[in-house]
Amino acid sequence: MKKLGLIVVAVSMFSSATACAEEPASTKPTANVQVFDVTTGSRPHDVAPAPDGKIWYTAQRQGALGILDPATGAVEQIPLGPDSAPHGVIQGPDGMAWITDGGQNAIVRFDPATRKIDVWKLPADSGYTNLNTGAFDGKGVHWFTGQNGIYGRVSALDGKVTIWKDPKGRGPYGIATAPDGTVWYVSLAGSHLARIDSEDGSIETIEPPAPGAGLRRVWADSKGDLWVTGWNSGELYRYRPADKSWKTWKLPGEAPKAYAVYVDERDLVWVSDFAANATLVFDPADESWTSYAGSAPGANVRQILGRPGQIFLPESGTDRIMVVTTAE
Amino acid sequence: MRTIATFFTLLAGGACFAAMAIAQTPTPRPATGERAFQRCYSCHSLDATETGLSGPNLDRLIGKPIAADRNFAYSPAFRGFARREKVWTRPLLDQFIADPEKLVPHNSMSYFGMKDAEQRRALVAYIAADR
Repeated sequence: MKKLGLIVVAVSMFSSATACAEEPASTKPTANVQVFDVTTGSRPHDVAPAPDGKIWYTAQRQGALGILDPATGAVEQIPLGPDSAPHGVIQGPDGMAWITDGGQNAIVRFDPATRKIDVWKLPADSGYTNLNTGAFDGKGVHWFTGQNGIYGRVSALDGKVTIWKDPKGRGPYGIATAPDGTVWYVSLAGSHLARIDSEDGSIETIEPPAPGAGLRRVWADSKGDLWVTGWNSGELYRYRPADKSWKTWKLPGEAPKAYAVYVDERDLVWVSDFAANATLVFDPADESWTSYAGSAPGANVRQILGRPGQIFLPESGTDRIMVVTTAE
Repeated sequence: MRTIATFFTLLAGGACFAAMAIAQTPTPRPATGERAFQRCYSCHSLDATETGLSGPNLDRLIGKPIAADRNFAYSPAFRGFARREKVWTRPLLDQFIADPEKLVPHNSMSYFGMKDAEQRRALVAYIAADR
């Protein structure tokens, strides 16, 4: 596939949230940004680091796992099965791609060494669960969410899938693991944060400061604080489990729509905003925002992930993946 | 949330409309429409009082103007679609469900179509049942 090439972009720096509704006060190049075309019509939803410097993406519209080699721009797609519509992908401790496949109502695993695909269907009586995103707990167990109102886990040893119902019904969306191995998820429609007890599958739900915020994605920083996006509220939240406190920051601009969140190895917080067609970087140290515009209108970055020194921004609306190099 | 009793009442009404609108085709079994709606359920509601979901409310959708949910911020693609098409009809809804991206290119919905025509008929009937 065509590599659009190395583009040094001008990123917008904002000194405070209040200044952000206006034109950027100052602009300067601060990072190297590459933009790669992936398969036309694939609608890349989620991304994850793959072995050998490659990047996995879920080609949600084409029922495939995509593999992008940023070194060459080459793209390959692995079909995942009939009716596949993969949403999330993460790399497991086994080095394989673990995919939450809404279309197949199954957890799918792809082994990059052998190319073997495992498909673990959810129990027949679970109905269509709209599988969303996965995360591994500290013991290497894969947990996942289903937006129709469930969360669950799968054992790679025997393929046993266990699901539980979210107490508030539909909504379970983003899921992430804290440094201590605890798995947390958020509910978009239910607007709550949940801490999973990985021993018995029970959850503790935690209400956000703004009712109806629409908590979409969650990620943990190095200290174990949780960063959460409010899709309805346009806010970024930090929940500190140590003292059960919340802190809130409104995204810049008018009527922001905060979607994806990811915390990099420097504890900088990356947040995508559909309304601004941009991905923002929030520095908790000085509460500043930096903006990376989408590569074209309607980029729609629905998830963010990376590896040390690199951030991956899948543009579901343009069939592209933006890679931001952050290393000095 | 609708009660089970309300659900069956509405379903019965919806079956009548479906029969009128889709002559020469078998009336879908009600349960099929409800099952098909599970593909929409996480983002959409048929209950007018239920707001704040990540997709627009679909209560009484047939006959309504396109992009008419005042509580929902539609994408530029959908606002453009609303300028081309005035109201939701059953055939238009069927066309949209079959391939949303084809009918409304660059829309923000993260659902890419229901291939099975029978399922679509059932789903359209289920959504229309609220009229």
